[in-house]
Amino acid sequence: MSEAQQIVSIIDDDEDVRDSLIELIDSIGLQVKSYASAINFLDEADINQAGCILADVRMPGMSGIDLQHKLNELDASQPLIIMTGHGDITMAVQAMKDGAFEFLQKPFRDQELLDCITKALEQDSEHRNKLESQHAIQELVNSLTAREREVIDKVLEGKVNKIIARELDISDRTVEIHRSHAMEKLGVKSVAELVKIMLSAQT
Amino acid sequence: MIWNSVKNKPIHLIVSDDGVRNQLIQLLGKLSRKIKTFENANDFINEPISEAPACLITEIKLNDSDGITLIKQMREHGLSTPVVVIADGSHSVNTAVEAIQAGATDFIEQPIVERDFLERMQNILNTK
Repeated sequence: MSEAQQIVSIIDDDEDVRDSLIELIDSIGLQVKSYASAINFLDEADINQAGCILADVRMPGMSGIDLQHKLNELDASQPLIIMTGHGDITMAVQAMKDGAFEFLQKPFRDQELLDCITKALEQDSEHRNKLESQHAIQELVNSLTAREREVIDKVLEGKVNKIIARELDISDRTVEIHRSHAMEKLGVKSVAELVKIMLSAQT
Repeated sequence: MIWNSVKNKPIHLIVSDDGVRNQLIQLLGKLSRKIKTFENANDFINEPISEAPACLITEIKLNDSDGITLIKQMREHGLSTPVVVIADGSHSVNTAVEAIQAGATDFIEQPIVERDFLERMQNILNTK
């Protein structure tokens, strides 16, 4: 499966903080881009880019929490790590409930941040692989003709060829042909595999 | 109030501290729900549950365990019951983050503020 280049996007209004984060993340060989505000990030970055986002909680214009809302709204799945200098539990709980990947309280150790970024990138790549394989299955399902699809749906309902033939008013032999073509297209050999692949196409 | 089956589901409390338990019982009384209390995590785990609770409220620190471990155990067993963690005020942002990552539905700090608490409980019970 193609592994898209992951980028760590840093969003912080403090230039010194940005520079030291860039240096740290660059030191472990990751691609980094930085932005002075969440708005700049949304304007300039490709939000569907593979990677993760590291953002300060308090920034002028749009906070790290607002950014999480915006990402949810845009259906952007990049994990967001929110950094905070303020030990605010209510804010932490809210950010996590909204789907932030992690809420890191400053001061944190470099290693702590790097571990967190590594985990976020792993999650992002797992999520993308899952989407990709779902997409591939969906394409296979879409390649079925309307008649093949109809036959397969009835197979999934647990019906035998004879019943399917009667219901669709076609011969047993025709049902068999549609059925074997469809299973060949989907690359499955048994009804069990067929059920599995059709279920994963739905979710 | 409509008494359908979901509305009838009880709230389970796992609280080791008497004061906190009494306060929660008093507050939850306003939600007209059945309440079942447990003093320790093990009392809860060993109890044959005839009826799944609508929600579970646990203290972060229990006599024999802690709320986060309990949530992890429940989630590992595939139980998706909403769990609210009550913290005693000495806990950090990290604990709150850890609780939510473990699968807590909410994390509420003491002192418990009645209005805020009931609002959050209503939200959880309504989305269930």
